[in-house]
Amino acid sequence: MNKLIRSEWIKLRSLRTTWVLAILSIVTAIGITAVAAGTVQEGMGDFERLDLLLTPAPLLVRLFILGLGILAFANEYRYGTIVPTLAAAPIRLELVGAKLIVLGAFGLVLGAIVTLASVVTGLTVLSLVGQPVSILDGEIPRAIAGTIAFYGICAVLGVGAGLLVRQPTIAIGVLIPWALFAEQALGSFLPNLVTYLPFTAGAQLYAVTTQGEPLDAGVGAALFLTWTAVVVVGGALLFQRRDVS
Amino acid sequence: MIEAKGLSKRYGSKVAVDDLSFEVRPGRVTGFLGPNGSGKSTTMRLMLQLDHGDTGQTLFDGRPYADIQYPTKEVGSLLEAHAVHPKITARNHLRALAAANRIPETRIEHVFGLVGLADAADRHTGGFSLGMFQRLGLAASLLGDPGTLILDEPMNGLDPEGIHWIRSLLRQLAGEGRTVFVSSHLLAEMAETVDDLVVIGRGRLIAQTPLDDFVGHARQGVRVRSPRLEELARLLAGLGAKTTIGADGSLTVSGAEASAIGDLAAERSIALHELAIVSVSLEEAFLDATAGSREYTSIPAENIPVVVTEEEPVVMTEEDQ
Repeated sequence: MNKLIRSEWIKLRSLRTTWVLAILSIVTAIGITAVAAGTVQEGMGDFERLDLLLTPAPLLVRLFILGLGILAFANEYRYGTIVPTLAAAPIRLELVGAKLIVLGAFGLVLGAIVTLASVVTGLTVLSLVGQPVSILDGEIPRAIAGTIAFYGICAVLGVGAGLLVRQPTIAIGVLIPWALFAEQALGSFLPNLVTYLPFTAGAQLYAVTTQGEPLDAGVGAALFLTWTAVVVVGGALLFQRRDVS
Repeated sequence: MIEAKGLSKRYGSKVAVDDLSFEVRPGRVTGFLGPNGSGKSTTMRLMLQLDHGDTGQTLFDGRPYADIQYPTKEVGSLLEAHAVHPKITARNHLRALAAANRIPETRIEHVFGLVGLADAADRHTGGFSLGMFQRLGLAASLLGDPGTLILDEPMNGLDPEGIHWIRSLLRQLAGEGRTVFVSSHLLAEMAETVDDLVVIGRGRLIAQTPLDDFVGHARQGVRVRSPRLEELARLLAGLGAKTTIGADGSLTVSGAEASAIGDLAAERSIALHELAIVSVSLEEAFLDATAGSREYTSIPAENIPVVVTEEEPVVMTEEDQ
């Protein structure tokens, strides 16, 4: 397993796409958080101000991290490298495990950097406009950890989706619009259902407070993980059965 | 030593590989021959467990491929030369493959030297020519210094110099005691290189034999030139002989003695410009053996048998393929 993790890490780090998406994630997080923090108003409570630090970035950054995950398998099919990859790693579930670990870890580390960048940017803007807030209050440490975990899970979900669908264009064409707006759009017709859909449930991970939200943070996280597990396990089972060609 | 036992694979109602069994011995180059679409690539994917067969299994020194702990250290393969991410350098491509089987990085430099790709090692593969992809694919297959090699059409896209190079490489690898299994749809390409043949058509085994035996079984033929060639061909066909008009305008006849052809021509007052006994070529022996099993049999007239005779070897060119 270690040997495959090393191999997958070499692949991931050798591609410029990886670093382009990583930098895009960080820049986007800084930009969107700065804009959001600039909308702070007198009379906002602490929770609302803290919301400005953590909740805006994941809306867009998750797309890049999902994309990174999707490409892990989908590009192997697109370029045919799945053939030499499987020749070197014929036990398929081991290969799936290695990619999940490498992309998941990369998502967590990138997520930590993105979250740190968001929080620092947000705090700086808030103090510049004279509306400072302390991040050691209340549920903030949990929300920060939850945000980082959210990014890691997004990477894993992407790997599963890429494995399931195999064509990068289809995987990206379905999952990105879904994560960006389709789920919310569905919410206007079926408000009760949308609570349990992956990204709405997963949003509880980075919500500063779940007071007034339909789901507890833990339940939201569990639902998001369950959706991810369904996609990953489905992809892995198909991968086991499929021919490479 | 490779033992393929009863491999079968069907796609829906179409049988791609049909109860195929053969052995590939070490220290020899074994050509895996068959027309396009005869199931060679599918067989190779089945051997490496990349595709799931309906029946059968392949053993490499007694074990199925997926049971080998470090498979690329024992079995090197080149199935799809183009299988590289275009935005990765050749070196990083090999690095990832080496890491997956704990192959030391020093091997990378070595195989680049072996295939003559050292200068391009740090370039993105997106700009590679077909020949360079073949060389990179070969480098990847040799990475683990494997005792067995499985190569699918490694000469495709190579220039004559590249083909010559690959031939001597294959000879050298077999000379070192390795098991070399290499597919081609052109016997001419293989004739100088292989020791043994596994010939298939429509997924079935047609022959497994040393090359010399395969040639030995080939019939003698008679080459005829005449201004009334077509008429003569019709008459001979009427007698049950098999005739083919070659690209050079000569007629190759099998199943009739030269004397009988001469007599027949004299009887009908057909002038003969040439009447010569020739050995039927390897290529024709192959075409013969696989006749009726070819997926697509429409051959443009100008491409009908390129008859390679002993006296005047004709090298098949890209167009002939």
